[in-house]
Amino acid sequence: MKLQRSISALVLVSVSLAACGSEAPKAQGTPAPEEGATVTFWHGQSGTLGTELQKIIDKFNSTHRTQVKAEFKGSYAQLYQAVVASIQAGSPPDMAQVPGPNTTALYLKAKALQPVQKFIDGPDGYTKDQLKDFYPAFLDDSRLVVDGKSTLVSWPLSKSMQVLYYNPKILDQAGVTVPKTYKELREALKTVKQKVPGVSPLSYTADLYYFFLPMLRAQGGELLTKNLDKAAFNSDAGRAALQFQADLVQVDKTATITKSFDWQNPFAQGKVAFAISTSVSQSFIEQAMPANAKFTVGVAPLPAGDKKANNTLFGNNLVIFNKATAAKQRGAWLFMKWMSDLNQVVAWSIASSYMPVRQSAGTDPTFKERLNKLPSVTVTLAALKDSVGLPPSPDLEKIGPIITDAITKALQPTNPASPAAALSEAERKVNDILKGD
Amino acid sequence: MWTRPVKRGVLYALMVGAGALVAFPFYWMVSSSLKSNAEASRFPPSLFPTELLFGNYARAWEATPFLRYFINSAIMSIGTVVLELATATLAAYALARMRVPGRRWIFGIMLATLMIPPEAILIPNFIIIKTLQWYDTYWALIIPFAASVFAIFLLRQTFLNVPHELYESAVLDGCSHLRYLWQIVVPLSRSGLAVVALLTFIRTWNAFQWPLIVTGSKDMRPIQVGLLIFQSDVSTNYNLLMAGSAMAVLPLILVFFVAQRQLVQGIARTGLRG
Amino acid sequence: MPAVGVTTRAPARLLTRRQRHRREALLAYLFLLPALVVLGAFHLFPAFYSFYMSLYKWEIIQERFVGLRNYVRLAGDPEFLRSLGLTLVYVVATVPVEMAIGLALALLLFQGLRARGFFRLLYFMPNITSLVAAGMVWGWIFNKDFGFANAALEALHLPQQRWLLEPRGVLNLLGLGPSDSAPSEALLAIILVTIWFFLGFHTVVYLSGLTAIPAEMLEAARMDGAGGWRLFRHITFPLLTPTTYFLVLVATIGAMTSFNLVYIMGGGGAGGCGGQPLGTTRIVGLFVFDRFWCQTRLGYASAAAFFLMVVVVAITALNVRFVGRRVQYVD
Repeated sequence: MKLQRSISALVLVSVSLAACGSEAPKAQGTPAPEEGATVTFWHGQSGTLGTELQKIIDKFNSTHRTQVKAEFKGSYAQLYQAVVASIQAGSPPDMAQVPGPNTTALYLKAKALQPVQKFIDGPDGYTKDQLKDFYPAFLDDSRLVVDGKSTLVSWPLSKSMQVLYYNPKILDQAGVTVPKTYKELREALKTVKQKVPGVSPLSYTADLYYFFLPMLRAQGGELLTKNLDKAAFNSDAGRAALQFQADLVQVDKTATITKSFDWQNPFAQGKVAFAISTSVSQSFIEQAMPANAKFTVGVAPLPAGDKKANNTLFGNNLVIFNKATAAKQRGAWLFMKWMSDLNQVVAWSIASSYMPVRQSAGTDPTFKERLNKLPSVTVTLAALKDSVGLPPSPDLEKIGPIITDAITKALQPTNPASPAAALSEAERKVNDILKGD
Repeated sequence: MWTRPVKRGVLYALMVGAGALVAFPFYWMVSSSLKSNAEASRFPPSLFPTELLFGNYARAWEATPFLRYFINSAIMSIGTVVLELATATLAAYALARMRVPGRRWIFGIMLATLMIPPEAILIPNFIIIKTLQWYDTYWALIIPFAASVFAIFLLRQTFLNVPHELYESAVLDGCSHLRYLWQIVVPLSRSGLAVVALLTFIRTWNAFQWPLIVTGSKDMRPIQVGLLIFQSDVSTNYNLLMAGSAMAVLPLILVFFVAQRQLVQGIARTGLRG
Repeated sequence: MPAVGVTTRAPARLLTRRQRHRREALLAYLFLLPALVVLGAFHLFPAFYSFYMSLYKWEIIQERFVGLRNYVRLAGDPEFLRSLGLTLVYVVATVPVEMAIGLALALLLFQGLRARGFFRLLYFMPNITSLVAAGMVWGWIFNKDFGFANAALEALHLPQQRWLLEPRGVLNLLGLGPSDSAPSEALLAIILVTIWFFLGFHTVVYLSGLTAIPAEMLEAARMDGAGGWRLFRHITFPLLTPTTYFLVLVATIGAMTSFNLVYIMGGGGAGGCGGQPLGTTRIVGLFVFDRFWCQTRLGYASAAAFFLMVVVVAITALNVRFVGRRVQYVD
């Protein structure tokens, strides 16, 4: 109701703005001059990425009347908690990073967002042709249904996916090549275990996102039903995906399960052959590598399953909050738009090893030249065709830990639950949550 | 029976053994902080670093604005100590030496606030801070902690130790409560006040959840929050992480060493009367 | 209430006793005011607000009034009941042990050995460490791949443990109970760190309790031939009773509402939900956090938090009623 009302009000405003803009026939018109608003921006970009992001923001501030005040709120989880708290207090920031469409959906459910569609259609926006330069997968991942209409709610900033990291030196020693399918992966791990003692063939974090979800989908399964109201993972595909991990851990004993990013350090020390993680881990691994490291970090797309190849589109988008004044909202959009100019897209991608959001970045000469140093970007762009975003359910944050628990239970070294039992239990709990009420 | 020297020897051994167990994590923190990253993640770990890399501290110091964090922590801690001493002294004196109708109720209310799980009041408090427009200011870090029931109870205990005769003679001299409090009770209770100040300082210096929620900019963040951020910055570089932890702990250990007599002796003398 | 202003000019001595009392009461309230304002605004009011929230279906936004339904739900929520059980285990495994070790160390220090001040300081040192730093260091010690704990086990030819990643019950690992018996090895590790953190506090408080016992009393007992265990059992320990009550109360409340250390060590360091592995370290404080921040079920979480508060108040009230008269500050 409220949202509808504010949207229609905003449409009115943009129409009247367009009318002021003289000859423009539709919403597209001459942009009004910048108001010079100060836009508070909460993000969760730590380490080098945080520093690089600040550099780009500084550049924006020095060339614009609009000023973006960036505040690092901690990890994505902490950022999310800060935003939830601020929504309770009725004073969210003007703009924030969201780590996935599910988070966007939750904020939208709280009636806290101003979908960016309004600005895209407005005088500061993009034409249909201009929009075509953005990877469709990224835009699709930014859309949600608002009032029955597919609407661009958030705007892509940093995009990544899971990849398979490998240590080429260990692979050489074992005489294996980079596996293309999960079956090949299992064999490769066995060979590594046999031929290169003292290293962990595979290290990863056993949660929903890094291994289970892409393999579930590659086996032809899905996490939730199409309209997001029921669990769908307790299927043949789900059980096969979980059984695969259980076999690695319990039968072959070729996989080491670590806590969060604890695998990075041993990998950097050359003690891990394969790891599954997000494509932006590369810079963190390299940071931990000793100066005299004798290998480079290998990056490959995730192996394919029985049905297809699949990876999950990760990364983060930007959203605008509807409590912000019109001037601040517009300022936030102007920043997003500027961030999406080819120059910034290339700079940010090179600095962060996130994928560039524009297709034309691929033809940009400076980008191409420096791309060779960033194997992960080449790999991820090539694998983008197999990328599917997270289910945009506002309840995913509640569901994730339940499935992660099921995975953990099935992977216990002693007395593990069977994948079928673990997934059935999780299915029951997830359905309870999705029932709402 | 054991002879005296043997008995002593056993007692010393026990004392030293317990001390070693308690101190070990501190040693491990410092020793890991001086290793190279490769050495820190070697198994089995080396008890003593093969090479002492003091440069790790410089690297950690440069990786994040520690100085700013320290300054913020100092402002937050000292501000809280000053205000809390003021409110607690007045309240404790009233409860110790003045006729307060409904005193049981006041006690009850105060005791009740001790039992509220911090989790339960985080969001309401955040809403209050936002309403007062204190978000990302020192006010948000200090004012909610400007009164503490523990401090009030501790000081009340201390004030009760001031002989009552002093009060009677002071009243006969026409001394007001405020003057009596300021000129007689406070000077006589210096050690109790010092204990409260120290305990508050430690607690405030170590606070992290609240500052994390109510601060936004690096300019406002205290050291514990900075340390958490530092953790995500250096990721799994455990040597740097340990160096950062050591730096965060060091100032308190210094304060503690300087003031330990006051602190340790005072804690229970004021907390209870044996 | 009749006005009191009329007599304020008269010298204090000439006021009637009643007037004097009233003036004193007013002044006392004035003294109490700043503290009460802060406590009211930042503790009591939020507590009531959280009760108010608990009466609603309140996910990320306030939805509708549901009365006590959240509380009814809690009573039938196996995860909540489990977290209550874990809290009980945590309290029982930490408080008595901390106190026993603290008392033992206090008695040791009380023997008048050399370097007593130094050791007292040493034992108290964990208590001034930040839980963030302590959590990081202990997490590193318990790291299953590079941690010192496993290195020590290896040196002793004992099997490697997964520590903070091990959800199996300790009893089960020793071959004594079902695999889901509490505490899990992860919770045990956290319990050990909790004891490490707090034992110095108990030592210092007990030590001062010992110091306060009149020396003549102990001397007299010794003259009567009491020594060693008998002296402790019949003289020292009974005389320490007020100290013990104080510590039981403070430590129990602290352990029941504890959060930070368990959260950081249970996988919550970077803003996660904690309680890992498999929820075996999710004591009530973490249950509240999880439902509040991770599941954004604010109404439900508030109900759990309020319930916890009621339990703590009840325990304290019982304690005060039956034994607490000897604890000075409760009157």
